[in-house]
Amino acid sequence: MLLIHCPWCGERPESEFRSGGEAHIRRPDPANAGDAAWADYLYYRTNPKGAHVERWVHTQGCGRWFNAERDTVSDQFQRVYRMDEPR
Amino acid sequence: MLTHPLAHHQPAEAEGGALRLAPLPAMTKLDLRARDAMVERFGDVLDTALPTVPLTSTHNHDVSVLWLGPDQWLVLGGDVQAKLEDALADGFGAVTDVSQQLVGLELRGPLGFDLLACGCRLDLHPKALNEGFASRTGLAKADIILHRRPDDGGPVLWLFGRRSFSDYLWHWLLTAGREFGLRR
Ligand SMILES: [Zn+2]
Repeated sequence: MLLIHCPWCGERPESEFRSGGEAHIRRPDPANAGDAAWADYLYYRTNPKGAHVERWVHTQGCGRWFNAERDTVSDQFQRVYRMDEPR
Repeated sequence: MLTHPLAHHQPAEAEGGALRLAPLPAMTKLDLRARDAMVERFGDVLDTALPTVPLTSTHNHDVSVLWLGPDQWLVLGGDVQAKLEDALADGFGAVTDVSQQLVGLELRGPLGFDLLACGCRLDLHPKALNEGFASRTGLAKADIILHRRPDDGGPVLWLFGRRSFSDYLWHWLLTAGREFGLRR
């Protein structure tokens, strides 16, 4: 069983968490964004082989969203940080 | 009036007192949301500070406050809803009565940890799960709030599940408890 470190609850089983996809995706400014910017925002993700920054939520625990850097090859979590902490 | 969907069940016990499963008496349960100054204001009303250390709880004579998240708590017992709502006034926060949403069960005895380990993935060693521990987690297919009470001649664990899951939890615990001698 994979353990994920929640920034509040500490090490907890993977089954208590849900993934929210790639982190740090900014909504474009609706006043100026063109079709390409919207398409990029809605559909395009980096999908790297290796380090990936993601959002996770501790649903069966404190209920908090947080960010995590995960290696997509080894599935190892390298780092977790709170939503209000810098990347 | 508070009701308990499991109230008609007799407690189940293992010989020798190593394990006992019983419905908890119906009690008031309040969900608190608060930040900053409101945390202190609620603490003053409850006569016990809201716990700010994750996975812990605080108590006074008739109220227990369980940490659920960095801005969320569960208040058990007491007659404090009106006083908390007064303290909330026009501030930022919430006091929600969840008495009928959550159904309580009690596991007594040292085998309670072993029984939970059949369906809960937390570290349930009595030393890891300290007295006062409080957290949401999962048991089998149900979401629960797990709380370890102060020892009372042995470990005491309280479980709170959603009302619609109460029958499921009761029967799951009875079935898993057979291995540990739990009999009705
Ligand atoms: Zn957590």
